[in-house]
Amino acid sequence: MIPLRRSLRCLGLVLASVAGSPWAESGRQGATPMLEDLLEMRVSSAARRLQTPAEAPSMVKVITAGEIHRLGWRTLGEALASLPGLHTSYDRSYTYLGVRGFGRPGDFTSRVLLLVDGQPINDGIYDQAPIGSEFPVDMSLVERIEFVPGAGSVMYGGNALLAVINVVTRSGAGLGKRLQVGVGQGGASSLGVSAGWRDDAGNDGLLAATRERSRGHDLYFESYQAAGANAWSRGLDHEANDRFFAQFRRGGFAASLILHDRTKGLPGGSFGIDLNTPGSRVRDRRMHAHASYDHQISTATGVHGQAYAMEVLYNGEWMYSAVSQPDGMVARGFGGEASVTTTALSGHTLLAGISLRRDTERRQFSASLNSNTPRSAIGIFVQDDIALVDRVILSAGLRYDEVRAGTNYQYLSPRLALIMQAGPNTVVKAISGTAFRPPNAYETDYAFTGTNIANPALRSERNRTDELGVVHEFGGDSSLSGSLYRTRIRDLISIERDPTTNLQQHHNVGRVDARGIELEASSRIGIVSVRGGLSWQRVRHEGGADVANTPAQLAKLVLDAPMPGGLRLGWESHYVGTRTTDSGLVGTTGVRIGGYGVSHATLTGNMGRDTEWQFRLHNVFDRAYGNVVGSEYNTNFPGVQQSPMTQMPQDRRRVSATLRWTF
Amino acid sequence: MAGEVVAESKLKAGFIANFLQFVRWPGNPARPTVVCGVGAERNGDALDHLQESIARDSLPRVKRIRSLHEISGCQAVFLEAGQVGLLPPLVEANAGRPVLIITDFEGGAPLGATLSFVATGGGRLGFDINHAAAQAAGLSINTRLLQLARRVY
Repeated sequence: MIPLRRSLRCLGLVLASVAGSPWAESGRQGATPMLEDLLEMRVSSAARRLQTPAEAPSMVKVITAGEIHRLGWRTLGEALASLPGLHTSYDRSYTYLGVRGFGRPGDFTSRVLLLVDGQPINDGIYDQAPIGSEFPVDMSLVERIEFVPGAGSVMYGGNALLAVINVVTRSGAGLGKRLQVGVGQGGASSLGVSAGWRDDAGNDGLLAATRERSRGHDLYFESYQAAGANAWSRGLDHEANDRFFAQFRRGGFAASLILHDRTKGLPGGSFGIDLNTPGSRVRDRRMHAHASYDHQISTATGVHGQAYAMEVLYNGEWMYSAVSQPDGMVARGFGGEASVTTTALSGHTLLAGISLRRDTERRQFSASLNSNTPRSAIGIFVQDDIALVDRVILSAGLRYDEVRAGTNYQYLSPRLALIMQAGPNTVVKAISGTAFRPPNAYETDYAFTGTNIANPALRSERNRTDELGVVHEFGGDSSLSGSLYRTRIRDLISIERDPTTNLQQHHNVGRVDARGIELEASSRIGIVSVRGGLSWQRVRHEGGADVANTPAQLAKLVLDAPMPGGLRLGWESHYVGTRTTDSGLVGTTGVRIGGYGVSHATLTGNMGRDTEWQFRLHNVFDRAYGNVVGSEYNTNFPGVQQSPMTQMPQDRRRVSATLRWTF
Repeated sequence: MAGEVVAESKLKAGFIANFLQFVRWPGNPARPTVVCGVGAERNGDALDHLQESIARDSLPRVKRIRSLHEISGCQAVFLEAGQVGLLPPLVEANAGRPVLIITDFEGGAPLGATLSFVATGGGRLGFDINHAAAQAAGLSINTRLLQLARRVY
């Protein structure tokens, strides 16, 4: 392949930058390193944004497979937490995503729509976006993560209140056969096998199965500390995950099957369970089946269709006075979408579509509850990206939704965005949109004698977001982006604890107002790639109270550095600023707690051509810190808890290692 | 870590230079001698960069053409984004002939182009391949290229 190298060497600036780049020496040897490098490069945004208006009306962020791998991210949440304005909270049952400071503890991330290859993953009862280890796809199968902040109902309907996350899975091509084993502190072990292929006819397949086990860690809870009281929680932090993924693609057709079975022990005493009694656990099983088809009718017009089915089963065992109280749900549903995109009309990119979803079963059961409220939703949407004048695009979208779940809801969600190329390397975006979220079955129906009562009278949440964003590319590899936004949510639904009865119930708690500034810079310093984010945000309730778990500042630093000997170091540091605990009432400010900084390091290297090792140091500096938890951890029942428990301790320094063979 | 940022035209020129290396034409030589670009001439566009890249090499000559009447002698044709309407007549006129058709717009491959550029998110570029069309044209596409395509039709 000498001619290839020679021809490329003459390609001017492209090649000059390739030759001097770490991509060119990233250990890829053999025939065609250049084409693979080209696939990794980014087009300067100014030109690109005006050419792909589908991406235009939002400040989209993308995380790639290479970054996920080199930073050692094992969950979706770990990857997302590297983006400006995002933070995650883990209460040792599930992980929740805070978007632009808005991260209600215990809300199951129901205000974010999570898609895998375009299919919705949020279940029909909790509307949960599973982003921690409860995310059903192994991260090594992820090609990229697209994070789309802002009111997304104009394209996606309910759930897309604060953001849309689309996880795109990789194709089988180039995967080969792989075996991966891992071990880590806390009795962690993992085993993964995968195989991918693509034949010359374009048939592309992928099969993968992973198994993870972890004993977890013993935890000490100061909230339970009292003379004679046992404030330790021992052996209850265990976790087990089994995942299976199958996919077939050919041309514009794609089909996939996702299976996940997760069991997590509950060490933390939520909802007043016994603190140190074995048996409390949650088990979540998911099945997602999906097929999609893209067809190009003419050079100007393409159609897209998809269909999906899902089943999400949750079974909980909750130990009260050493007696197990089962609690569970069955969420089954299916849906589909059809859309057409055309540029047949000069100066317009027109998109129109219809989306349907039917949650055939939304059953919740426990000793004190047996409810089932099926739900159906239909949405029709249209968006036109109009080239107003040279370098200015007006994107106008509108969606109508109808949701039936006992109550009937109707929504109209408009969005307007103006995208301007303000200079050769600068794009300015002004975006204004609305979104909605009907109350979910957990919020309206859930009851548990002694802790929770239902509220069928809940109204929908509505949101309006206005945003001004700028992206500027400097010469070389540097870029700077900034965003100024305001999000106003009406009729926010939140679980609240009645101070006198101690019972919890979901309420419409009025308006909240979120404002903030986000900055992100990325650059290459020598051979080191650097990405940093800074954000300031404030979320206030209409009465002036600070909304819980909103960090005043968030800072991110992500480094990716080639090292001598073919090694690669991935480093990340996060700072989460001061935030308030959950007082149990949205209108009452909780206790302000100090910020924390935490860093993780991942070292990757090769032993021979087909074996790769990775060594990860989680929480390098062994910082003790906690994540704010919801008021469900604050239930003084049956009187063992000595003081309010407002934070969940997070993992201290942990070492883990993986080995991967490619056959 | 996000990849390097480069001008779109330069990136595309890099891709095209690669494509020409990974496709074999029938007969001898198995390399094209004339690569044609259809579109409005703009300084610094992909064809400019392609020309620069191969001017000092023994690779094919780059020729700019305005219409399909000038197409004879072109073994590879690059259709710019503004020339969407020319794809159907181009595919029809060259049915069964060893002409590599590359489009600068998504949706070209399923409509008969051999290769088409696609945006793969985050400002990255990829490409789709219509292998059936390539085979019908007598063009042989290297497996490596087929493995790196986003989609193969």
